Amino acid sequence: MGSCLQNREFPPNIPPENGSALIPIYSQYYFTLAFEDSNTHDYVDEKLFIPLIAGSVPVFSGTKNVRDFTPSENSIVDIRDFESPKALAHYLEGAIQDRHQYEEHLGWKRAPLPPRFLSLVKGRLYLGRFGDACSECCFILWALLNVLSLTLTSATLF
Amino acid sequence: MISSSFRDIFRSFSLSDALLPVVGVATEFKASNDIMVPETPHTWFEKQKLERDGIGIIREHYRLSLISNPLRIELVDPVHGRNTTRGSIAVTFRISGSGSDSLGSECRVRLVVNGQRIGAGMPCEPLEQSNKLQGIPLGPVKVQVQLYNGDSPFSGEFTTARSLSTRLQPQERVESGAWPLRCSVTPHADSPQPSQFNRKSPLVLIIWKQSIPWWHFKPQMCLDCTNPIYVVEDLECIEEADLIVWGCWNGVPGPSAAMPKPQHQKWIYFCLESTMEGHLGQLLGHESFLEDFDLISSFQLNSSFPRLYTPPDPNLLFTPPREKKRKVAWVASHCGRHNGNILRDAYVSELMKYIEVNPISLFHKLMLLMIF
Repeated sequence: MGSCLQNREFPPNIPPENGSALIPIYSQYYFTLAFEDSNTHDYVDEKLFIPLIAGSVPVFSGTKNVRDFTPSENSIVDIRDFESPKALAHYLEGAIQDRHQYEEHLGWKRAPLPPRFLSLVKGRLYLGRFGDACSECCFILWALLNVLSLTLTSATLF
Repeated sequence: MISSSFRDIFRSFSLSDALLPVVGVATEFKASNDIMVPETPHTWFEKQKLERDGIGIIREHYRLSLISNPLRIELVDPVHGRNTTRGSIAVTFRISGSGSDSLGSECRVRLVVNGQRIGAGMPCEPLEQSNKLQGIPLGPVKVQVQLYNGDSPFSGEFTTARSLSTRLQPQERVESGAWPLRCSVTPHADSPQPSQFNRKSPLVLIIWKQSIPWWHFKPQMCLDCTNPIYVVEDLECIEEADLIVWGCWNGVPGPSAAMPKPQHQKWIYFCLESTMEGHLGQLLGHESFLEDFDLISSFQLNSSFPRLYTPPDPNLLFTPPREKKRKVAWVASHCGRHNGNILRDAYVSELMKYIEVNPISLFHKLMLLMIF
């Protein structure tokens, strides 16, 4: 065991662009630990979203407003809700044994995404003003429009 | 109380040790092969200067090893002169091994340059961190490494073999607005040909493109816009850019200390890293630093342009769940690092007493960053 408590080697030759490699691995697990390396307001990264894609319920440690970034309240398990690792383990074991309870964590996959979450995900910009179609190009153009007072038609943006 | 092993850390650390070995002195802008100096907007900028002015930059590397077991600290220290009165120094720490067993969890590694303490220190755990200090008076630079355990510092120090010296004159800026551009450019890899643009096209320079993959920026898309934008990664006449997108910056003061900002030009600070102490996005919490920029794009929902780590295609989220075979997976990096809430290693160790957890290791964080 190394400093990361390692006991399974990750295949070393996975090309970076093939990040989908993690998804089939996670998908075999009921839960995936999504422990951010910082506890900062609004900070959630791929450690949260990859398990969500894989259908492995993220067990999250990090910012307490994490649920601003999740498709539903119970799509994740926040370790803040448990007083100890033991209590958390007890909950996870219970959910693994109780199919109904576990499925509730994945229920969001069978329903339309809530509008707010959708606007987060689409365009990956938290900017309702752009609408869903906003691209990266739109992002830069919007910046230019606002700070450079360039003449751009609104059709450029939408 | 300082344990004896804590003293041992500095047994081999003296001034003469610190000065040797010098592993390389380069006159051009390249880190020697055995030392990784991560590219940042700083180094990008320095490279521009070198290529434009043809002036060599003094770059010395010190590899400073305090002790190999249990804790090893290497100090990688490129020094160079920049302007007429002051220079800058970049110090990269690479801490390997683990000192927490013998040194205690309070152990901190601290960097002190010319008597100025840099940051709050780092835990005595595997970590790599770059620190860039600007505005240092020319002359010998005294670099100290301090190990703290509680209140008692033990420190070693060295003075750079060469002094920071005068090398570069401040660049004279000309706003010509000439088109085609009077200088050489490197367009973004996916950019349309320069001939497709004219002076009315906004000219955007992206610095430190490595930090930009999350954008999935496709300049081709902009051709459909009524006013397409011309995106470049290198621009000799940097003052011609309408907009500069700066990647994460790891030193104070900000880029305005390194180059003048033309009046017509706007700057975006694009950094998706965490704002926690010691993280690359730390300066997002630094008001005077942010004053350099017109717009901020970060993970923070209240920034000018919040940018998220969500997948590019929302439909990915509807990937159907598969049948489960195992209980709990864990892929982590920087495991010994406290996240402000829990020490992840310790928490997972405890968790593993009660439920099966399969840590999946050796997955570099960079690879995770490239996933989408």
